[in-house]
Amino acid sequence: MTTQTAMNEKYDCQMALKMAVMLGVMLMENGAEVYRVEESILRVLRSYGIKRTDVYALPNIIIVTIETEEDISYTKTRRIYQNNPNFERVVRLNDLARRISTTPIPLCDAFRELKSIDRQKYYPLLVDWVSYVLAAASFAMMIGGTVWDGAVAILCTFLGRLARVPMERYHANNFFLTVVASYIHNVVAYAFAHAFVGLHVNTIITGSLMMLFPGVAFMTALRDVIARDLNAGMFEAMEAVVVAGSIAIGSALAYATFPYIARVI
Amino acid sequence: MSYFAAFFASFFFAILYNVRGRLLIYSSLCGVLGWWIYNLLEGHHLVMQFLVPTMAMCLYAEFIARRCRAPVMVITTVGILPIVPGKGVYYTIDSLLNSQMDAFYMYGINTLLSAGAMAFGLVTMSSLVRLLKMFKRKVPAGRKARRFSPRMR
Repeated sequence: MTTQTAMNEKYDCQMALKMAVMLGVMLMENGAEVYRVEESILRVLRSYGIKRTDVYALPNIIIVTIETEEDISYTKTRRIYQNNPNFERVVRLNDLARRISTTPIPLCDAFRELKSIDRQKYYPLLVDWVSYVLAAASFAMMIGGTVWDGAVAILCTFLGRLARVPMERYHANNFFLTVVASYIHNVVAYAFAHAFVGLHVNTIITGSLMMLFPGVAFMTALRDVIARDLNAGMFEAMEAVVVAGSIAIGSALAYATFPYIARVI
Repeated sequence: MSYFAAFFASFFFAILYNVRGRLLIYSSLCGVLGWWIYNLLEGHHLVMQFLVPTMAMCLYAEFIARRCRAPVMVITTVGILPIVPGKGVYYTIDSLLNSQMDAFYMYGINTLLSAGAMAFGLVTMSSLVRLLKMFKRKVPAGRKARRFSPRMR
């Protein structure tokens, strides 16, 4: 089945659908927002001459149904299983979507471009770890900590992330991972505060927990609720509350068990 | 100075999110901008303290988005990180777990208010900018204007 665009070129509907859904899935997987994904898919398919498109997107599923000029409907549903923010890919995908919505490019080129964007890498692992710990330290110092607070925050965050590595390999539950990470952040902070004088424990803990915390997710949730999409908003809000809860549980556990640990050391 | 720390906090977060190029610097500056205005409004009402920095950051992000050809969302996401009420949410659930209901209500409402103010600021600014763009586009009134959906960003 092919359709004609306003520029009188024929495009295969099903391939266009596949491309648009792939674009949307990649956007969502790399941390774009729900409205952006929906609108990108809509614009791309409209540009390829599809008569009618209906998109529904949530952070873990995308459903697209198209209706061609011959009144035949095709639908595609894709689940999304990961969410690793990679904004460079989002920038490139957004750019691609904009280009396609002005002039539809040949589908094989579009697929090639999607593959090339998929190969876009993250920063090297060392840079990733270094920025992770330094971000926590900067946060601690930003909210009023001293350089020593920052240093302890670096250690807390490093150990916290170190503990996650083996567990992630065995696909541990995300909730559990966050509880453990939060626990370690807290315990290390308490240990140092216990050993040395002049450290602001609350600052250190807040700074290091900021790395675990999905603050942006919570705000995105509220924005979606206000803007248009209650389902997506509730979804993200729930996710944010659950993560916040797991952080709090980890902290409460740390607070409760630290006296025993201190006695052992 | 906490502004350096704010810059580096946003900067390192942006690295974690794999932002590249000039966008890295500009997004971090967005974070500093937000943090600066947030500190300026220290004594005022909570909603104001979150609304005004967010709106200022959105305006700034629109300019940067034009220059760097990036979606506004990327810049705003990095920019709001310093002022996002992470502490508030944490204390809310923490006080719930410790059965301190008064503290729970206080932190809970404060967190909701601040997050809501930020969300409101983001939505309002983006709607305003979109209206402005549509208004400007109606003036030349080319064939291009008809091809986009009304909700284009």
